Amino acid sequence: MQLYLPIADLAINIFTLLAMGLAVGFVSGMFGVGGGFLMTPFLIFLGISPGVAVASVASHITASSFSGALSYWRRRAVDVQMVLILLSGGLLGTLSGVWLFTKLRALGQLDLMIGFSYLIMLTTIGGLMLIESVRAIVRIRQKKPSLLRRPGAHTWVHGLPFKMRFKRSKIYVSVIPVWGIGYTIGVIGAVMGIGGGFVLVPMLIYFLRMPTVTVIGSAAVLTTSTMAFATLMHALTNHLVDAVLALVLMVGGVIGAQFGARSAHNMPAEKLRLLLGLLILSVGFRFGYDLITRPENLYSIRALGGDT
Amino acid sequence: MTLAVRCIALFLFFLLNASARSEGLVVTVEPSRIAVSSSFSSGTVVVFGAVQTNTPPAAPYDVAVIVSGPAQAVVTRRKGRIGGIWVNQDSRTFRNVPSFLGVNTSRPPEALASQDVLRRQGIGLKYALFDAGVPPDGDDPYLVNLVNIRIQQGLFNERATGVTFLSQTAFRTEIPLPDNVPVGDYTVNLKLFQNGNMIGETASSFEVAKVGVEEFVAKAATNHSLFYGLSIMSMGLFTGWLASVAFRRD
Repeated sequence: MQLYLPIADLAINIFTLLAMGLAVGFVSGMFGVGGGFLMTPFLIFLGISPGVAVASVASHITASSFSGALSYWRRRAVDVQMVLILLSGGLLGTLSGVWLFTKLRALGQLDLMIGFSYLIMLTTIGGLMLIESVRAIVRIRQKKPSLLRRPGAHTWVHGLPFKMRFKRSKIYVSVIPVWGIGYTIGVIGAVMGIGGGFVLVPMLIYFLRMPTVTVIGSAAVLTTSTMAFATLMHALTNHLVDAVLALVLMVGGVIGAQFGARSAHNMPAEKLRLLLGLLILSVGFRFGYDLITRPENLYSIRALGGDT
Repeated sequence: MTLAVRCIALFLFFLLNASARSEGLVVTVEPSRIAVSSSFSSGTVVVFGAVQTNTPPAAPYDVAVIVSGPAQAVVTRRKGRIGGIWVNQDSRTFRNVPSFLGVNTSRPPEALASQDVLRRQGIGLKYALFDAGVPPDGDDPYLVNLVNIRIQQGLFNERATGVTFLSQTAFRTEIPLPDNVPVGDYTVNLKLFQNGNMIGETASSFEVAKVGVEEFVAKAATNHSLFYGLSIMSMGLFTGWLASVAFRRD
């Protein structure tokens, strides 16, 4: 059954969209990520323009990360203080990101930038995850004890001024990196149509030494806020958010996420990370392949809209 | 009187004579409104026409039906290789490009009239030149690729035998509209030919409009973007909340 998408201006089979929402939701529930890094490329491969894809996926991630955020909130696994500082950077980052998005679209370089950012980001993160998880698996095979987080371990980040005590996370760290991480996530979220959970979580752990108890819940709350804000900003500036597309993706996504989360229960964490790393890496390679191979048609067109 | 002036006079005489003999054309377009709803996947516009004449035609008629959607400016970009990566480099903007163009003729355009006439009347995709701000050039790769991409998208099409004559004077043609058909006011131009001369023309119109939910969504997104953005944001939060309640395990 074809469903006409009013903003994307084309008809797509509703079951294809629902299945995609379910599949991406499954992956997101399994790994505890938003899944935007899969959803946006899928929509682009389906023929939806990158602009509409990025803007509509923002609302889809709002839904999936909010359902996660709520359950972490109930378990009191959210560091509100941390989230507020991250958010002050995140909202400004989102504004910058939406501004950049609009500029790039006018210049005709949006697709390139989206492709390029995906390539760099996904291959880097995917590669790091792969290496880290393979090491962890080898260590377990050799029956060596896993590396524990040393609470005293300090990095250069801990030497920065404006330190603040985060009670829930039990860390004492400068607000500068916290704010910077929030800003970065805001920008990439708005430009690339991803929640950024899979970047945010490692950043919070490695740079701030945030404990795992609060990191995922706090990341989910931050992602919900920045993506809700990005949805609003994309709707206001570029008019590219497709409500029908967003709704179908949301419904598929939140249901898929539940099954994903359940099937992740009986799988060791390092194997999950290995799988996620491989998945992220392959999506990254796909973007790289598109950038370096000669396109089928060197020409592309874009209607400037309105009358002439 | 020089030969040139005499030729012009003769030409004008024929021109006046031709317009005096201009055949009347009547046309109906069905439907007058194409509704794009959630189940819209494609549509068809049927054009019926008849030549009004008292005497049987001396030679068979030919008809060209040109359907054009709202005009837009379109930018065509060309990719080039920079440091191993394919990047958009040069671009050209064309003005007054119809967002949809369907050209149906009773015979291949070249059989209808001379290339000059075809170009002047814009009959056939090859002859539909858009205002590029430079003298039109049929081989301009930016223009050729613009037309080719639009053909691939199903937005430009040409059917050389798309018009069928039901009798000597009545004809019928169908114009398919794809799912990505742009909304707006469409014009239908009919041009009548006989013996390689254009002897009459008329125009009609129809509308492609989003209806129901689609109309509401599209209008809200552009006219009430704050309300629209807030609603989608709330929709996302609500869906997320609903899921967390429905699948609650603790």
